[in-house]
Amino acid sequence: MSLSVGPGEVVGLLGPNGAGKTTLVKLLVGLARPDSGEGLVLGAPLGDPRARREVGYLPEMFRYQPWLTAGEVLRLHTQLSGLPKPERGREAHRVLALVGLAERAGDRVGSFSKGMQQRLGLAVALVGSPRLLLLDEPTSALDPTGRADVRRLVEECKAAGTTVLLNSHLLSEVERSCDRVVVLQRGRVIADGPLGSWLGSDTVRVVLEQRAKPFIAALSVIGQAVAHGHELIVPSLEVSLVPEVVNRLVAAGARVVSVEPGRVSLEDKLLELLARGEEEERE
Amino acid sequence: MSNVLVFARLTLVEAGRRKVIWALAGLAVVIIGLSTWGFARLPAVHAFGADLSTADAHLATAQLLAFVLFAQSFVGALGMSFVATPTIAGELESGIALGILARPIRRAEVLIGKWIGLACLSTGYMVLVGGAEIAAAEAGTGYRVPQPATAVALLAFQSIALLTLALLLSTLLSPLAAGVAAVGVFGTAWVAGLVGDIGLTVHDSSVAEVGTVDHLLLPTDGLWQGVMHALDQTGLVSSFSDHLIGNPFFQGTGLTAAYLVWAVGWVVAVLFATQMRFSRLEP
Repeated sequence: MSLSVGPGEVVGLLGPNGAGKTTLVKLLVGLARPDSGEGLVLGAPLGDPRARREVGYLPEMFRYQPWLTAGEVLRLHTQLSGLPKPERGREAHRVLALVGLAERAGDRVGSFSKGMQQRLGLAVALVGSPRLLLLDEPTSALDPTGRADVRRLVEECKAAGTTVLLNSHLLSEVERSCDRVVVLQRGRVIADGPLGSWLGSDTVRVVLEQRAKPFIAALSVIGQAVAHGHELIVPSLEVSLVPEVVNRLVAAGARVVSVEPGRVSLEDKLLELLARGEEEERE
Repeated sequence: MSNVLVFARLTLVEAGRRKVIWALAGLAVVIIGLSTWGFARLPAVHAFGADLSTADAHLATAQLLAFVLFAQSFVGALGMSFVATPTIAGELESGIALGILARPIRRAEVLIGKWIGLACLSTGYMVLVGGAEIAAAEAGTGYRVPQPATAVALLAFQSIALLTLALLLSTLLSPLAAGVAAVGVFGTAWVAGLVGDIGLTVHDSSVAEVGTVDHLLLPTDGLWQGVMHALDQTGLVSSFSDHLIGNPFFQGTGLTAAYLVWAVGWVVAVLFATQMRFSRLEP
């Protein structure tokens, strides 16, 4: 894997389960050791505590000391992150207010719902206004309001010049928050580019009565179609060519259920990239 | 406050908030209350229709005191094993460690801080219950322990040795398995020490060596023998020595300085091994 993220970028990390997204994040914060290779985080080598001085991290499997209050958890992290004593109380209050938990500072974490614990995790990640923010599935336990809050926080971090690495299965979150996307598959970077270049082109989604994969070849002269179950997606296709697509499929023996012209979504693009990655690996 | 002290304090706060301290205090009060009543009743006991002589009463007190302190040390060992093991294995398993270890700190600071917190807890418990039992024995029967400070210090040392082993086990096994293993090893070491004493009684050097090897591999029973010697009134063993050799609650000879150095070295070596293992664990 070779990857470089510049200052102020908001990068979405995508890939199927087991692709290595969480392992990559753990390597960056020194929770895992690389078998080989090297990396730098804000100029310091991987694993060096200095590398974590200005890094905020929200783990996927977040859990905080249930016997402490939210305020105590935050004060602990302000202390461990090296903030001077006079600033700790103020910083703890600031980040709790950012995630909407200021009123619950005196409550034990054990009494918090999962969503509230995730908010607390976000507050922990934001302690000391880090230069690099690593968010591993930051909205998995949040309701729609909470998700909107996370988007707002990411926007604010971006405006403040913070680099954000967002690892999420919720592609709509990535679409809304990130300006660059990196796709991982089995520990390799299979795609890396600005989000804008991936979205917005015309596409056609054809639903068949049969499984779609055998009919990819029928469309080879028109475009590189991707099959998912009974669906065929033909990217970068002009709408005027839609009747031609249907004719070729029917001629090949397919029974067409529906045809939906549309625009490429991140999900379409991701599925296409993963399917291509699988094929390349097989070859 | 250095990070080591932060984790030592956090460990004590956890023990307090999770009611470990109260559970240990409750058990201590019950055992101290019952033994105080027993010591107070002892001088009035009739043996074979006659009053106990002073020598018999002192012998019985010394025996009872040793037995009660063994019960207290067992409660302490059990408590410390089940408090120490979740502190590493439990936090790694639950995800609490993720947020903490991603901070710009060294894992050795976390481990040593937790060890100091647990050592304070176990020392506090042993000093309190050991001191109370020795005072109760003197108040009830007039039996004065020759080296009370040494007895209490060795009790605390025994407990620290076991909790250090429990920490090592918690980097190798799940929290529950590590707790069970630590208590099991403690009990096995005590039985092996007993076998060694039987070897001494029957003058079988190969059986006696079982005790020697046991004391070297895990110093808890060796330190317990030191406690027994410190509790014994001068002359008590010499007047009854033929009957008392092989009795696990009497020990004729004290610990050598070399053995104490070995025991301290053992604790440092086990703590070092724990750190080596902990530094490689991926939460």
